[in-house]
Amino acid sequence: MKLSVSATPARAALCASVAARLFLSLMLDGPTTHNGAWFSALLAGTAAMPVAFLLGRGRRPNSPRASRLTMAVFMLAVALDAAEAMRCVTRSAGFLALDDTRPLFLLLPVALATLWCVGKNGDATGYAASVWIRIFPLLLALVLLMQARHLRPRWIFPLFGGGGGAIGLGAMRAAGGAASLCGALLFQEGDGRPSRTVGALAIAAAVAALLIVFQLMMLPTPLNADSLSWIYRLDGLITNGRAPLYLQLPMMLLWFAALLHLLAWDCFLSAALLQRCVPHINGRLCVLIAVLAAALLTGISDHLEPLFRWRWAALLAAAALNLLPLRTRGGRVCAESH
Amino acid sequence: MEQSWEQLARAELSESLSENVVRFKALLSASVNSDAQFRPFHMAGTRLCAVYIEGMADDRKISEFVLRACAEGNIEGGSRIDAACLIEEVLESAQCRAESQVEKVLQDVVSGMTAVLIDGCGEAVVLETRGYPSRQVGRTTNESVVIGAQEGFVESLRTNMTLLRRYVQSPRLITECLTVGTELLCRVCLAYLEGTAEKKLIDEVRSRLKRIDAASVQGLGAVQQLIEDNPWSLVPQLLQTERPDRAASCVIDGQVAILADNSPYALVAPVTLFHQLHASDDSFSRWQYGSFLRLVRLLGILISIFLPGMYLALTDYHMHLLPMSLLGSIAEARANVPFPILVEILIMEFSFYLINEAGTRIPQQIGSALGIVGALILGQAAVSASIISPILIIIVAITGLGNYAIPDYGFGLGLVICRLFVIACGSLLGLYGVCLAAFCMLASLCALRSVGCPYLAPVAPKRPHNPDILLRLPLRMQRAVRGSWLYGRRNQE
Repeated sequence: MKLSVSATPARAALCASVAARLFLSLMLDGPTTHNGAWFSALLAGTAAMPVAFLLGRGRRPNSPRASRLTMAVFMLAVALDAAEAMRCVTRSAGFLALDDTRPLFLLLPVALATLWCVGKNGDATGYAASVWIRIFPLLLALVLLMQARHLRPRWIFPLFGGGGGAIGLGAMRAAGGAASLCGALLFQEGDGRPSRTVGALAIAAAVAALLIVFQLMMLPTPLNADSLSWIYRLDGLITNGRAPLYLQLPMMLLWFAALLHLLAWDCFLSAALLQRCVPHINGRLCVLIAVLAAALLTGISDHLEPLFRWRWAALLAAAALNLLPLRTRGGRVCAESH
Repeated sequence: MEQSWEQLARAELSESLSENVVRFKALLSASVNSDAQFRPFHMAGTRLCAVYIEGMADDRKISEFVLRACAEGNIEGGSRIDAACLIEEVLESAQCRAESQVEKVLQDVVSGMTAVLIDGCGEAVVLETRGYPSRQVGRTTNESVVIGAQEGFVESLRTNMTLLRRYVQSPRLITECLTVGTELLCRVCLAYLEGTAEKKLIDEVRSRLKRIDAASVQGLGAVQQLIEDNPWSLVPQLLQTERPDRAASCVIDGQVAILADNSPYALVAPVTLFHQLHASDDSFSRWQYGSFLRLVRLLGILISIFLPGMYLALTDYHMHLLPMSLLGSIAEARANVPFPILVEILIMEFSFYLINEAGTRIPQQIGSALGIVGALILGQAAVSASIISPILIIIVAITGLGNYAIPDYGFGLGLVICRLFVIACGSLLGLYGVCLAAFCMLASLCALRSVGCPYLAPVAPKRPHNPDILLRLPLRMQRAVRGSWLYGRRNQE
């Protein structure tokens, strides 16, 4: 089985997963940007655009000729991202109702579900995301409708809460995740014009910024270290701040669905890139390896925080490397610039 | 040396009538087969023999169009009589042809046609004399509509083709007949509108039909399973309809209909999830009503799949998501129930399937009794005995209603199995499990294809389409975007 994806579903998956990634990175994994998170999301989306542009320039339509080094870097980046997403899914599940369940039993179902979905190949993963993109506004509207009375617009001030430094660091961290999700440009089929991918990134960043603004209106700015903890932030997100508990249902569905689509796209990308880095390997085996790797890395992804800060720079360098006319040992050009 | 049955069947007809008759008697086991008939007669000094199966062929047609025509035929004595002469000058049947291969003649004879074997001629004349008893065209049983045509397909392929042609009165309607199966052959008909259906689609369906290598194909149910893209999928990838108007509407839209002998319905390919939500009423009603009914059916599908699983997840794992008053009612209703909610749900679900299945098999005369026993006595008694809570009866009843809103029976059954999967996931992991199950189902649907067409088109992938697929828009807004949208622009090129 060859893992592949067409341009249209790839863009849908990119859009859905980047929005989720930016929100997750800025509101839960790195909440130090405080009220400036919305601006960090926009900056991160913008920072991911050069990577997408370089990747798009480094390939010919229907004939991807990217260097294995670039692919390997992107593969590692999305594998880490998948681990982060999987950790977030299992933590959320544990927090919401299954706190007495062993982590393995939280991890196993999501790993199996990801294996099943990614095993259906890239188009299915991408089209699932495009269906999600259509359902998402309805669920969001429902959430906002139910929350309307509890939203506090004044809580979004000061607009650049964390200050320039915090906003920049948060953006850089989130940009790494967003840029790694553009990895499909290295092998996707069909119309791979960078402008379209850049457009998808822009939409995703705008949606993420909007979601962050809504979230800021639901929950007051954290004032002490405890309120910056992951679980506290998740609690604030899922319980919708101060609304009645029974209004959580659509929010929970929204949260899980967004995370699952992010995870599936991460795992698909890492499996597809692995298949291109290691020729003649079966796609199903790649999917299994990608999901297993994500599950195994879940345990240590907390300790990889320093790596996440530099992920964007590494990806940008790898994408630029892809433009160089690198030669393989046989002397054939394996990456060409235009 | 004695020849085997296959050797006899694969031979060409001999010029000797006696030899041919012996061969056909052997092939039809005439010594034991009481309905295999061999009627010898003479015409202008030449010996002939009509071979047919009693009951399958119409005696009156044979007497009138074969025996009487030959007796009255204006052929001079001593003239050489061959198949061409019989067809052109003697036989009065509209449909007859010359055939020299024993196997083909035999197949025609067992399907109700009559073969006239001629002495001194290596060809037989095969005439259309089918006259077996068949059901008259009547009302549909499973796809009832409030307004619109009421007639349904019957078991006769010829009648079904006529019904289809009556709705699509166009010279461009092609009805291509094929036989499928290797041992017991089944006649199928591929119907499409030339110029509207994609050539690629027609070729693909035809080639899939021809590739069927099953020994016997028992009607369209078997054909469906043998040609669909993914036999492991829970949802059918071809549409079954017993309504000629619906099949005709699909053909006009550029899809292909498959009809078969002994199958009182048609298969339509390719279809999408949204075609499964259509009913004939939609086309006959005003667009607002049709759109509303489609939304109701979509809601029915969602309820049918998720309601019991969600109820289980919420009451077992996320009680805080229920408003306090509702939670109080549920707790009160369940106070005396000794089983966990999962067991309670499974008892009710399987009781519902049992009542459903029994209701389908039970003789009509006692059908109402089953309703009383199933719904009133069992339900009431179960609640009184505190085996199940009343709220669960409401949940299962709404779920059942949601399932019945789905027009396609097979699709509804597939959703029942999906529902059990959601219940299992909900009972193990709560809402987390329900979300995982929904995610798996969505990915499966996105990967599914119907004769190469994406099952979720025109939503995923998004494609320009006639605004009568998701919701109905006013007729004047419906463009003539026909079947090609199913395959996307790339295929059109």
